[in-house]
Amino acid sequence: MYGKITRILSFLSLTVLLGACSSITRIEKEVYTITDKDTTYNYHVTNHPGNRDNGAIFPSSKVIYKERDLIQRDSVTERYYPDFIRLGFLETIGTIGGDSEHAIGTGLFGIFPDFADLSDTYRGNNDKFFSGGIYKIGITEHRLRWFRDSKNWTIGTHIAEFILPDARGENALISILPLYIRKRYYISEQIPYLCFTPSIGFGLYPSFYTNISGSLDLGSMGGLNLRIYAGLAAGHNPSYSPQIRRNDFMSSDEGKSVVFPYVGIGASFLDFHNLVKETETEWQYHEHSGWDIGLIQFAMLSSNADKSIFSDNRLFTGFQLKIANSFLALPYADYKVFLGTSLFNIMVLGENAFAMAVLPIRAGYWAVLIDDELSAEPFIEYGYYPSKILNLGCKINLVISESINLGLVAGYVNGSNDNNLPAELTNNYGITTSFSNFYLGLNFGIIDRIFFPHQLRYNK
Amino acid sequence: MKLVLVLLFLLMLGCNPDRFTLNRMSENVLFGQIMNDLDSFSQTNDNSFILSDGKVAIRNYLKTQNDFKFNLRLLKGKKINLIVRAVEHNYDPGNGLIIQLTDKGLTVFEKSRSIVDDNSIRLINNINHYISIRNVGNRTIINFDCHELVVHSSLPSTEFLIIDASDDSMITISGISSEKVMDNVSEKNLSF
Repeated sequence: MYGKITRILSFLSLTVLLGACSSITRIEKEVYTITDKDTTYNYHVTNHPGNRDNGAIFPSSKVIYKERDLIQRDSVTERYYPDFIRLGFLETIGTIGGDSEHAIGTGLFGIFPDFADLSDTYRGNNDKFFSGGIYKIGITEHRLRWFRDSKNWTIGTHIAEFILPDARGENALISILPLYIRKRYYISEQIPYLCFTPSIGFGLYPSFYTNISGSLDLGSMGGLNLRIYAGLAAGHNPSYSPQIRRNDFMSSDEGKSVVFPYVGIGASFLDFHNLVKETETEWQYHEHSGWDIGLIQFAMLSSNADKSIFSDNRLFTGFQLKIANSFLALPYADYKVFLGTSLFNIMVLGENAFAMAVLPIRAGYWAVLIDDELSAEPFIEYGYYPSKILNLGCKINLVISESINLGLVAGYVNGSNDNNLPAELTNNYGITTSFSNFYLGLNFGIIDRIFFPHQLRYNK
Repeated sequence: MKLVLVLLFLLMLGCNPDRFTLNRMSENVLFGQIMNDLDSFSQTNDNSFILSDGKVAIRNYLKTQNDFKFNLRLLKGKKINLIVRAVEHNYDPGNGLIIQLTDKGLTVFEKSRSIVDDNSIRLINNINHYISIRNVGNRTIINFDCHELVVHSSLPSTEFLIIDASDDSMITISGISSEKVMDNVSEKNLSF
C-alpha cells in the first residue's frame, strides 16, 4: 500500500515538474518608458485704449510665460513566443527487424494493421512485411544548451512510448515519459525542413531500455512529418511490468530482456517543429501552411440510411469522427485548392451503413465567405483502407475561437468494406458490405484551427 | 526508486539553466539571463560574476529610470559592449544604445550610428574600472572612473543592461547594483 502511494505521488510530482518545465508559449513582458519633453510659451499682449502718437517708440506690452514639462509614459509590451522545438500529438513507425515468425503486420507507417488480428491473444504470423511498430504519444522537445551552445540539440520526452518488435507482449518495451536527447543536422532549413536526426532515449518505467536511432526527417508541414528510421532498442521488462505480469505466455516470476535492431518508415500527426530562430519569432508572425489543422472534427449526421444508430433520436442517424486533420494549401487558384488527410475518419451514417478510413485523401477548394469568420470547403475524399469510401460534399465553417469552430456539412458518400473492421465497430453498428447515402450534419471542430488567407505563409 | 532517480535528474537539469539572480538580499534584486553559451557565465558571489566570451542581460524589474553601478575588470580581449535602452533576447538587434569600450576609446552607437566618440576613456587590462550608467528620461549619463559623459537618446528606456563580452573577451563584474532614480524634482530637471 505504502509503495503504491509513493509511486502515485512520484508520478504526480514528475508530471507537475515536467508541466512546470515545459510550456507551449513563452510570454515576455517588458516596460518601455517614453519620455516627452514639452515647453509651452504663453504670449500675453495688452493693448491700451486710446490713440498713440505716430513716430514715437513705445515699450511693448507683450509678456511671454514659458513653462517646461516632462511627461513620462510607461508602455508595457507583452509578446508571445513558441517555447518548444517540437510538439507533437502522435508519431507512428512501421518497423522491420523483429522476429518475422511473430510479425504483427502494422503496415506502412505502423497504422495499417489487419484490424481483425488485433486481440490480446494474437501472437503474430509470418506473412507480414512490417513485423513491428513504434508509437510515441504526446511528444515534446526543448532546446538543450550544452557543449558551448552547440546547435540544434534538444531534450524531450513523450507521454508514453511503445516499442513493439513483434506481436509478443513480453517483447514490448513500454515507457511512460522516456527521456530523449536529439541532435539535428539540417539539410534544408526551408519549410518543410529536411534533417538527419541521431537520438538516444532512455525508458525507465515500466520497461527499462535504451533506444539509439538515426532518422531522416521531412517536415513539419501542417503538422505532418515523414521519417525513415534505423535504430537499436535494447532493454529489459522486469517481472513487475504489465507485459510480464499480465502475460498468459510467460512465467510472471522472471523478466525478459529484449534486443531489437530495426529500420522503419514513420509518420507523425499534429507534430510541429520549430528551428531555434523560430522560438524567437512571435506567434503572430509564424508561418502556416494549411487551411485547417486540428485534433478532432466530430459531426452528428442525418442521412437517408434505413435505420438510425440512436434508438431515441429521430433527428440524427449517425456520426462522423475525424482525428488529427491537416488540410494543406496547394499553389493553385491563389492557394485555395487544398489537399489533406486525417489520421482516421469514421463515418457512421446509420446501422449497417458505416465505414472507416486510415489516412484518407481529401482535396477541395477553400472559399472564404467572411474574413476571419466564415468559410466553405467543397471537397472530395477518398478512403482506401480498411474501407473504401468516396465522399463528396461541402462544409461551411464558422470560427468561434482559435481552437473551436462550428460547421454544417452536407454530402453524398459511397462506401464498401472488403477488409476486416475493428470488432468494436461491427459489434456496435452492424455488418456493412456496401452503402450509398446522402447526409446532412452539424460539425464541431475541437482543438481545430481554421486559418484565413492573411495567416498563410504564401501570403506574407 | 527509478522514478526518484528520474526526478533527481530532471531537478539537476533545472527548468531555466539560463537564468540567474543577483543581489538576492537587496531591495533591488537583479534578474539575469545568459544570452548565449551557458558556460560563459560564472557567478562568483551575490553581486559578482565572470563573463567569458558571453553575453548576459540584467534586469531591474519595472525600473526603467535606473542607475547601474559596477566594477569592470577586463581579463582578456579588447572590446566590451554595454547596451541600455534595449531588451533581452535580441528582439531588435538594431535597437539599443550601445556603449562600446575598447582599449582605444569609448564610442556610443544609437541605431548603429556613432553618436559619441571619446578617446580619453580607455579600457585597460587587469584594472578595476568603476562604471555607472544612469538612465534618466532622454539622458544616459555614463561615468567611467573619473570621466562623465552625457548622451541624449530618443530611444525609450528599459529595465535592462546587457553586457556583451562575446568578442572573445573575458571580464569580471563585481559589486553590481541598480537602483531607481528620478524620484524627485531635481532629478527630473536633470533630464532637460
